[in-house]
Amino acid sequence: MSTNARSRSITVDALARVEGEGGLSIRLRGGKVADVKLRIYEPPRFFEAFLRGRSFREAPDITARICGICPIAYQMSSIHAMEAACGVKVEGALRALRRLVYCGEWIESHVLHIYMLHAPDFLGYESAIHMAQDHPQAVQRALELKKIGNELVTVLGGREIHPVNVKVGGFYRVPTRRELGEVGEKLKRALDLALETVRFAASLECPDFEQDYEFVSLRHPGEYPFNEGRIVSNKGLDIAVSEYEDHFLEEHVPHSNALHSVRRGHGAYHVGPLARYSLNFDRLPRVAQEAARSAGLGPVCRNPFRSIVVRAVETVFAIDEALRIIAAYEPPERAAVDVEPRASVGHGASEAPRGLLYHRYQIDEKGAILTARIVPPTSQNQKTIEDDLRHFVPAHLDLPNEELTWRCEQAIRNYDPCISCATHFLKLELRGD
Amino acid sequence: MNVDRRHTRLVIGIGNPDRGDDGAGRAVARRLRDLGLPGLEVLESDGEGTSLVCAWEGAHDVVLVDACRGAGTPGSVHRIEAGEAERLDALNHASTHSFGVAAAVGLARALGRMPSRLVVYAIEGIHFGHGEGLSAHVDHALDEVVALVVRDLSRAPDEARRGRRGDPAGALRRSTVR
Repeated sequence: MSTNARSRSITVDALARVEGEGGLSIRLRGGKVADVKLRIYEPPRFFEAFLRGRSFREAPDITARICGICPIAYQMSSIHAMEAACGVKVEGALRALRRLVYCGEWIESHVLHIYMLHAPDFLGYESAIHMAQDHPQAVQRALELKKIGNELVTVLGGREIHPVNVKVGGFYRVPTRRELGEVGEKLKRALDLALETVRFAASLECPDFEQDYEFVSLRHPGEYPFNEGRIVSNKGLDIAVSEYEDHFLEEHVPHSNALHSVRRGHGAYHVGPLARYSLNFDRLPRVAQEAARSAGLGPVCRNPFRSIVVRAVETVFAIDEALRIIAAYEPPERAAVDVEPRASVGHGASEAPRGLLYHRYQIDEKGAILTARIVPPTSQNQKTIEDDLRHFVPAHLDLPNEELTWRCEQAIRNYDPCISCATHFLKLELRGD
Repeated sequence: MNVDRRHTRLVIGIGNPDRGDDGAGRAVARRLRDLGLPGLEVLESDGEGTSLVCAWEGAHDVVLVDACRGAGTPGSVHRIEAGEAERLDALNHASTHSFGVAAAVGLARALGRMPSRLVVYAIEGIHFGHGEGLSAHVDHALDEVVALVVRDLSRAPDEARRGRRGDPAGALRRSTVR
């Protein structure tokens, strides 16, 4: 490893503590960042191809397998796209149950990331295991919270992994009031744990770093967004989900396997908790708004390192929302509405834990899928993550190599990147000319 | 619901059946479940570490079955005890999560949530791409793994430990049973 001031070379074998594997290459020239290459996401092209010829009703089950940690998000985006294609809208208790299962997934995903994947960075630990030795209570809290989130998903989804109960039109089976009541009791305890999590996240020391992001998320007139709304940004965007492809495109980046998602005429944009929060703070329930303020957050947050706090606030929201839905729940007469196929194109977008997840399908009159397009949140964030690093690294060049590398990894983990589709094994190279 | 699991013998089959040989652990679990042995609880898991720690909560005797890469020839079977930390670390868990079996054991240890006995059976796979279905090598190993797990769980703890005092820093191939 070179220690020459003008020439620095750092290699890290694998980018740890993100879902899957990935890597980063940064080249410096004369003390300035000359190039940043981030290759952490491979689009789900296998699934887009595999879906062709399958029935539209199979899309939720197939796409659920794209991501082990957020299957519900894929199911919801695909279901909404197919229902849009067939001209069906699901309302009432079934709509509420969809939000409820999504609450469960947010709880699980956010808690896992906050405690097991990201907190070790802030506290200076190599891994959550090392952290657990010194902070067992925090990690026990994580396990308990995640388990409750998982129970919520299971009671609605029918199985812990790859939920099978969700379908186009609704569910195969809806829960009884008693089944929901049981998990509701546990959610009350979870709310205390989540508020403690906000305090924990707020106590973590983080760099003073802000960017003027174009935040993009769903926005809905009456609720913090999960499944429905228009796609908006803080820089003038306000469109229907069906207009997504008129405003966003994916560009191949010559040097890498990455696809860069950009807003036409604008450039990089930012999806995920910071975007949702900054665009929808007024839609949060009071308990979540108060927790955010106590944590030192305003209605907008532009520091990606504070995303860990925002995830904790969203966890509070998800639990509060789940309790609200459970309290009001009356089992519907039917578990699903009828959906008949027609030749058309359908667009769907929902807010996965990591951000906006867009699906588009073209189906024929029998409901066979002709084409599929899936744009996950992590692929939409890749350019923004690179930009963050490009701006972050120069201010920290005084750090020794090991620490700078760690800070870069921490900066990438701000986005909780889900790179489970990535099969490439890459390195972190910080090379100076 | 608090079930007393102090006398429970638990098998957890781990993996992703949509990624070829990564489905091996869960295939073994299904065969064990079909045997319907009394006193044996069988679960399946995608291998995410925190849910593993919760899944074996309170259980006395735990066997994990999983696929691995880089441990030996395809279809070879490796038995690892929880105390053999280096061999556990050497397992390359072929899942989509970075927080797998070895991390789960480390986490449980740090939190005082280890069962009295925990053993891992790892089956060397060869194909981990998209799609369901095990390679022939792995498929042929399943019945033998089932037999080994049953034998392991029917032994008393002392008996199981006898003769296993090998060099924990030894190569992963040691204790290859097949």
